[in-house]
Amino acid sequence: MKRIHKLIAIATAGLLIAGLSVYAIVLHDERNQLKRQVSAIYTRAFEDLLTDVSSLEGKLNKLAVSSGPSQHEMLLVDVWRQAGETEGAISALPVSFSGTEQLTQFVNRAGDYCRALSRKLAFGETLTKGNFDEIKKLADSCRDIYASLDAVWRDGAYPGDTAFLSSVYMETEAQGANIDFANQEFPRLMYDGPFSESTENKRPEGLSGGEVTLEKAARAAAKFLEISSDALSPEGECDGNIPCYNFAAEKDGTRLRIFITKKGGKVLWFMSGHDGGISAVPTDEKYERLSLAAQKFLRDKGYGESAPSYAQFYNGLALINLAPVEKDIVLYPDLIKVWVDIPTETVVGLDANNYLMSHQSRGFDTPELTKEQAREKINGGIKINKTRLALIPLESGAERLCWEFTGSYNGRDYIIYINVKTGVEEDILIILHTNDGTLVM
Amino acid sequence: MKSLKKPLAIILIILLAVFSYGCDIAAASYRMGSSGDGVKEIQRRLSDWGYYKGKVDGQFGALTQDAVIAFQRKHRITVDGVVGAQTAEKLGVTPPSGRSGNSGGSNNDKDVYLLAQLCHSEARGEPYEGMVAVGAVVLNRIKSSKFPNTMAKVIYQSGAFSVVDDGQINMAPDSAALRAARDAINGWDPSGGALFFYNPAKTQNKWIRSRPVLITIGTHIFCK
Repeated sequence: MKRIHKLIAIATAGLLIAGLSVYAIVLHDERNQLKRQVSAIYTRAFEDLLTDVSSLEGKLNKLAVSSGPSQHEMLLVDVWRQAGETEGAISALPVSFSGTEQLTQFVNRAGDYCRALSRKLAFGETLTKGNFDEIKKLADSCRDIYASLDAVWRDGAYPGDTAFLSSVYMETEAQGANIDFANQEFPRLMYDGPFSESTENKRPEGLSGGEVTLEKAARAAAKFLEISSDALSPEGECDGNIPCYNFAAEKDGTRLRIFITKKGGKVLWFMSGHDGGISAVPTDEKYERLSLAAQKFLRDKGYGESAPSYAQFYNGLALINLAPVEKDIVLYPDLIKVWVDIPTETVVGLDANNYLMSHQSRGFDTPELTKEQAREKINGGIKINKTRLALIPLESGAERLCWEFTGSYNGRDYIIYINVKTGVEEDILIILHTNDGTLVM
Repeated sequence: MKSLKKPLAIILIILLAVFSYGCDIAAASYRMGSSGDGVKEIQRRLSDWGYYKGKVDGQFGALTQDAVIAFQRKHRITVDGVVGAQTAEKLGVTPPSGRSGNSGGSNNDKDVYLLAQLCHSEARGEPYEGMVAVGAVVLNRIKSSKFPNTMAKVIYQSGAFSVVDDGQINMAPDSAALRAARDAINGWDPSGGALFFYNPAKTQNKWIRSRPVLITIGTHIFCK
């Protein structure tokens, strides 16, 4: 009997070991397969990048030698598109921010620059010699980038090999240097576009006066929230685009936060800790009341008259974007966000960032085009419901005075902007009526 | 045999519980003739949002039905005057579950959900504006020339967010995170233009610690 027990025990142990071994082999196989799949994805991303950089260089060089504005415009748009592809390839690499920052910025700015130039051409301007010099420099940079990437490629054994991948991609400081472009000189581009230096380093226009003290800021906060200064407690500072003093407060049992700008002592934003769950859309009639409440709030707080632009409804709140109105002109660059609690119709939050960044006393051009003349510039099929004067921000940060036409065509609502001076159609927006409110696209 | 009785009884109880729970869901549609606190809550919501003009009395009558129909029209859901699962969810009378919490299905919604997942996994337990600030960091990166240009590319960029690596990002966001994502997408930025954030108690990374600090919210430091 005892012997049989022993045998059974040994057999069981043997089976167990055999089973585990098989299991380990299967796991190992699976792991290797996954590894190969992942490395295939990364290898492809790297090869894509090589192809993209080389065709970016090709397109820039073509641009440098081509003549005639129509050819230029086509190629400029082409470069912009190719830059987008290249940016996509970079972001697919398993390399973290510090390894790709320089390259991403170069590609984004190159594309952005060419797009700005193509717009220039579209509005009847011509390219300067300086522009062509910069295009040439961009092409040269692409060639250098290609050479560095290609060298990495050649150094790294076989594509798809994990040893190769770790040599290129592993994020240790020493190895990250493989595709580090920190020491490479990229051309500085002077132009206006969303990624340009001038746009990325914009300073606030809407703040004047000197720096206020913490006490003065606290008084401004208390006045705005209509509470006593004692109910406020300082919560540090924010050293962001618009430096601020931060305060916390309690009003009617709700927690409030408010940021007051150091320069001029203005409200940057305030928000109550409110959070309801419902994300439904109110009736038009109810929305009208909510936007009147928001307008009254802005009037009471010294922002003057305003017009509601678009709204979103979530968490029991209506977020209404209101544009200040001056001399019957709607000022979209100065858009203010106001959060209104739907059941109680009270304002629970405000964000004046855009207002503080761009509001200033402006001299407006007298419209050279009448409303009727501007109307003739628009596609005749569109049924116009409303016309007014509006100041709109361009991507570059510049502003244009336009006639704003709101109308509908083929079941969709549109807003069209015609420059009051040149008659150029500056922008077309589609109004989207979604389940959460209205949006513009 | 005796020993089997107990487990059998337990299974029976569980089955009954599941079954009665199912019945509860079926009963959760309110229609003409229904009454009670559930109806009262529906009337209150409809009245808050401007659809219902009658008395909040818990009696589902013609006025309530009209209000429900108007509500359904506005939200482009099946117009039947009955408060079923879909209408109830929009009204917020039953808690939304999983991804259905955010119906609509446009591209914008996908971005909102993804950003809400990030806000939730990175900043749950932080003050509300700290959650929005995490979302704002993503939006600031999209706008920056140094980072990729879409929500998904920024969030899934290699090494960008630890919650992507450890899988926490796949958690379902709560309603505060969904609101935070929307507030950030709509342009509110409590971070002051930050491109990075970290928890000083959890990171030894010298590089990130050397970045100029903009603001501290809760346990997170936001920097340029």
